[in-house]
Amino acid sequence: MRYLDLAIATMIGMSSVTALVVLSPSPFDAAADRQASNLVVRDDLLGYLRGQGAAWLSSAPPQEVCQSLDRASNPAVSFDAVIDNDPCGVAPYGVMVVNLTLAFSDRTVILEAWSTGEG
Amino acid sequence: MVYRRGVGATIASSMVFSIILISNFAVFYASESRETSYTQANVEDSFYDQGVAIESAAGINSLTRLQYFISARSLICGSAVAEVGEVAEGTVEADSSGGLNSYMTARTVTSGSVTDNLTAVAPYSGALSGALDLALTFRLEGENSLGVSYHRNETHLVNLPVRIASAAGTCLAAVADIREALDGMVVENCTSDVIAPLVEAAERGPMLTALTAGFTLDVSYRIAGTAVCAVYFEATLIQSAVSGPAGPFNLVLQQGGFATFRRSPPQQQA
Repeated sequence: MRYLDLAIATMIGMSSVTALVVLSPSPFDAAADRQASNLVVRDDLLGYLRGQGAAWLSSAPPQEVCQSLDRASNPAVSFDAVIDNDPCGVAPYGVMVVNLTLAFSDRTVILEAWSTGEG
Repeated sequence: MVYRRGVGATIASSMVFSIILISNFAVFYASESRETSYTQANVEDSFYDQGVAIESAAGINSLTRLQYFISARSLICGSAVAEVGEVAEGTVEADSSGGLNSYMTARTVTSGSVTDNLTAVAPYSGALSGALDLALTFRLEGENSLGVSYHRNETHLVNLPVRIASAAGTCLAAVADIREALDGMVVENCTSDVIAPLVEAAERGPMLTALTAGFTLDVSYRIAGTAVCAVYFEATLIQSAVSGPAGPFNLVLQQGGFATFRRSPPQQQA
């Protein structure tokens, strides 16, 4: 009888621990934090577009656009762009990149930004 | 007695684990719903921001197209406003970027200075008194795999700082003034020596008026007939170095007109 009791207690304990592991809220918390971070990054990217102006982005030489994005980058957020399939730089592997596509008559500019996890 | 204690411990531990599990479920579902709402907010935010990017690009494209049209030719003063209006209203943009489909139509509007929240197209954002103002109407639609659908209908005002209506009015008034000054004027001979100073005198006033209004006016002429002394003159009105999205450009308007002189009767010998 004692063994049966031990077995039941062990089973309850193991199932509970398994349930605790499987139903861990931490993946959701991490995903929510990433989404929150993306909201901030996207706001920064829109801020860059508003600050620099679509007219300038439609006609400025690609090098100048790249330099401007470089200057706008900060410890918390990095900016980049792909102008007519030609990227200014490359986002680090694994980062979640947010982007805005501006389809001008003469060229397509994809503004990109990602959180560096700092700042 | 020992058996009862074992059962009691099992029940107690089951209850403790149950409480922990229930608490964990509560935290789990709270985190899941937080993540879901953040994801939805992110998707909506993404649609909104992409919408702003689409509207900004379409606004610049519309103005650039108008700039190219205007800068590639000289327009007739009498029909310039209507002609440019037709080109503007023929502007339709359809785009599909960032999971968002958009459709835009344009029309010219006449209004005073009005600000607009599409600030990404500055300095062409909003309506500018006297400028070529366009109302761009957008329909944006998107849906993503999470079932978040997005619809937005809105109108934005943008401007190209060409003062086309004022320029056309100044040009037509100049042509009318020059014609009025020359028509019926008495001349001895229908030669350039006689006609040139008269045309120069007639164009002086309109040139000054145009300059005051911020334009330059140039008048050229040729003698169109000597049997009946007539001149064909052409007024060219220019708004120089207009700042457009594709760089500075000129607005050039032209209008021609005829003026007929009267010959003085031949002097009779005494």
